Amino acid sequence: MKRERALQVVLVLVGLFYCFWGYLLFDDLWHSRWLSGHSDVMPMFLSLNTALGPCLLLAVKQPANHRLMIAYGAWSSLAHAFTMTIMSAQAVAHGMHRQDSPQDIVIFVAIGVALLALFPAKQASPAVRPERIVRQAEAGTTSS
Amino acid sequence: MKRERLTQIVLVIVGLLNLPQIYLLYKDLWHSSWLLEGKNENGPMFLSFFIPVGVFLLLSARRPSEYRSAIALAAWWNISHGAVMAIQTVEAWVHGVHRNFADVIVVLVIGVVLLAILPAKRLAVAPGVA
Repeated sequence: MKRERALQVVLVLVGLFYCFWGYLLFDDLWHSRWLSGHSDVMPMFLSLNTALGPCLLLAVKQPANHRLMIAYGAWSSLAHAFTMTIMSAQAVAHGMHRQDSPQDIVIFVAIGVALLALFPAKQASPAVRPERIVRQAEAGTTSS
Repeated sequence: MKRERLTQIVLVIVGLLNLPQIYLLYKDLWHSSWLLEGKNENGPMFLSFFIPVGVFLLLSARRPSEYRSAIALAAWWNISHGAVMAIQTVEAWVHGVHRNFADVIVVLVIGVVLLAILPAKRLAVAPGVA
C-alpha cells in the first residue's frame, strides 16, 4: 500500500514535470522562435515529453492497470539520459562542455530508476477475456 | 478476433517502423557528428525516444487489450508530434521557408490508426464467474 502511494506521488511529480515541457514547447513555437534558432527538431522533441506528462498523470489512479505505460516512461527517460551521457562524454573529448550537463543526466536517470523501482506488480487476478467469461457463464448456467 | 489480429499487425508494423531510428541515432553519435557537423544536440535526444516506443509497441502486440494505455500513449505521442510539425510547416511557409509536409501526414496517420484500433476496455469480471 505504501509502495503504491509512493508510486502515485512519483507519477504525479514526473507527470507534472513533463507537462511543464508544454510551456517550453509553446515558448519555442510562439513567434516562430525555433525558426530563428534554426532548430526544427527542438519543438518535436519537446512535444514527445509533453504528451508523456498527461499520460503519466492518467496512470496515477490505478498504476497497476498502466504497467506498460509506466515502463515506457521509465525506459524513455533512461534512453534519454544514456544518449545525453554519450553526448557529454563526446563533448568533453573534444574539449567542450555540454550545457546543463551533468544535472540533466542525473534528473532523467533518477526519474527512470524511481519509476522502475516502484513499478507495480502484476495484478493477482489473471486477465479474462470477455468471450471466455460469457462461455464460462453459459457453461455454469447449463451445468447447474 | 479479426480486429485483435488487425491490431497486432498494425502494432508490429508501427513498432518495426520506429526501430530503424536506432541507425540514425548511431549515425548521429558515431564520430560525434552531432557535435562536429550538425551542432544540433537535440537530434540524438529526439531519436532516442523512438527506440523504446518501437520496442513497447512490439511488446504490446502480444496482448493488445492488456496494454491499452501504452497503445493510447503511442497514438497521442504521434498526434502531438504531427500537430507540432504541422504548426512548424505553417510557420515556415509564413516566413517564406519551404518545409516538406509529408512527415506531418505520415505521423498523423500513424496516430489516428493507432487510436482507431485501440482495443475496447476490458469488462469487469463478474464475481463468481471467473
